Amino acid sequence: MLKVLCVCGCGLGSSFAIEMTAKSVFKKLGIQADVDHTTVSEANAFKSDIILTQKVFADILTSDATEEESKRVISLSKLTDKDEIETKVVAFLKDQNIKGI
Amino acid sequence: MNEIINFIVKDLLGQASILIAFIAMLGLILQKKSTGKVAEGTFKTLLGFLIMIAGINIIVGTLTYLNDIFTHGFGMKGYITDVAAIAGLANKELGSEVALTLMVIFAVNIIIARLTPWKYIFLTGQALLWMSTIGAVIGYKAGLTGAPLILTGGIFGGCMAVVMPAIAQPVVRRITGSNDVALGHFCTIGYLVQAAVAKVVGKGSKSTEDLTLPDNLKFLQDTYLSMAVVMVPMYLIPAFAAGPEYIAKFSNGMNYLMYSFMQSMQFVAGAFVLYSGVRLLLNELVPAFRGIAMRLVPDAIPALDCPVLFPYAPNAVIVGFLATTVGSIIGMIVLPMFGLAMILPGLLTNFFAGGTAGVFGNAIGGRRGAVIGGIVHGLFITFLPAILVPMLESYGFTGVTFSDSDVISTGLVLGHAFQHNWVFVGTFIVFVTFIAWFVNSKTAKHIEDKVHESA
Repeated sequence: MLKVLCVCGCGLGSSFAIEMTAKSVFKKLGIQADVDHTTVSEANAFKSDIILTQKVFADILTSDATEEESKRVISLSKLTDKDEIETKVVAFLKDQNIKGI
Repeated sequence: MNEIINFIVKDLLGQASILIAFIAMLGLILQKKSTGKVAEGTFKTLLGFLIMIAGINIIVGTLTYLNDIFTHGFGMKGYITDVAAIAGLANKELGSEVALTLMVIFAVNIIIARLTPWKYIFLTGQALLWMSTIGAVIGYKAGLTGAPLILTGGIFGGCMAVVMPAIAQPVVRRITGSNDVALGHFCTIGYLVQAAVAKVVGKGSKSTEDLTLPDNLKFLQDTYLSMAVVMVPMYLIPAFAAGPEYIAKFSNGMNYLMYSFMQSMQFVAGAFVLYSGVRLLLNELVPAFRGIAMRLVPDAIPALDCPVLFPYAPNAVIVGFLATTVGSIIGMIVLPMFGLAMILPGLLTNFFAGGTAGVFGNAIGGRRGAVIGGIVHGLFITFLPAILVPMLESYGFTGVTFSDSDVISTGLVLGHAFQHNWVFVGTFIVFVTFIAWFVNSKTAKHIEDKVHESA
């Protein structure tokens, strides 16, 4: 199962908004995914296949990650835009050759 | 028979954690989730509440220490502004009432969105939790109990959940360029104050987004890290003033500065636990509310937490945060000279509310709007808790106060209404109406211009 982490500063509001949007996107794509939300402080403590977050937090998460690790951090410009999440997630999965689509 | 009813009402539903878990269970059942999912969600909500209380217990310990050394060191009281901390405190006592008030807020929000042209559904769970807390606290201390208590806080809070996104929406439209999302974060009155100042001073000022800010400010985006950065001096300076002899009675032989440092870290750890609890607590409630609301109000506009606006003006967030912090430090020093309480700058609010206010200021009045407006915003959000303190003190809360401007406003309006101080209530409502009108009066026209340009 795909493990997806939605991240923001406090782990309360906007990461939750991303999570709710992302869940409906994965449902639509028919991908089994375990979607959760957390703070930027904790994000790297969990194992995850995809991280969905805003640019500012993406910068923090990728600042000393390897290129391979950085790829899984998807930076969103709008938090609740289903199309954006869908496009970016599909592109990532294709790139990584992950099955399910 | 009586014993069974007594058990259900007092022992079972009287436990706030159980009550709120039942509410989550109801939400899950209404969404027709599987039995396993219902059990899991109910259990996690219960756990969330208990974790929240555990977090507050950690915070209270270190806060009591800070109060002691602050009072001893400076001969006066300092107030920490942390909405979560005071909400946690209130929830220990009034948990069930707060949970039920939250339900009424959900319901009233849906009803208003369904019946009026204001289609906002407020989805920032923690903000609604703070709103129900202040409603329950103020009502309870004014002598209300039971249904009147829950309905007063709930109906007022439900109205706030629609009105606040509505008065911010013209500016939000201008920031995002669309009407898809609204801002659901109870610091709206502060944002409008900043926007109003920006409108006065910001004519022709350039956007903050043309600036290049140093990269090393970015760590401030990490909430707990930035909280730690401020809490350390907040503990060390009073510790220095209070001196080693006084602190010796707490520290058990440890160096007094080291002990204070550890206490400040303890505060951050407590906040971390507290917020983790709130996260678990809201995990099932918010999607349930959202699911139900979207079904009943098909054309609803979701009002979301303030960071949704951050990507539109990331520089303004940093500028707004710094300017607000400057304003709140000025406020901390100046307000006690007028006999008001000393409010220690609350970093969480400064960052989230200050950052968002910066985005508002920039949208209306560019750099000058973000900087000057931000300083005024910082003063304003220090002034509001300062005038709420006497009320909270008379209710027995010391050392900690609410932070978010709309939450405080609710407390002030309801509290003064219960004391029949209608002059204050009236003046306050007129003030809010005026700034909302002032900010939005010409903004509407700007949007039309923008539309014309892009068309």
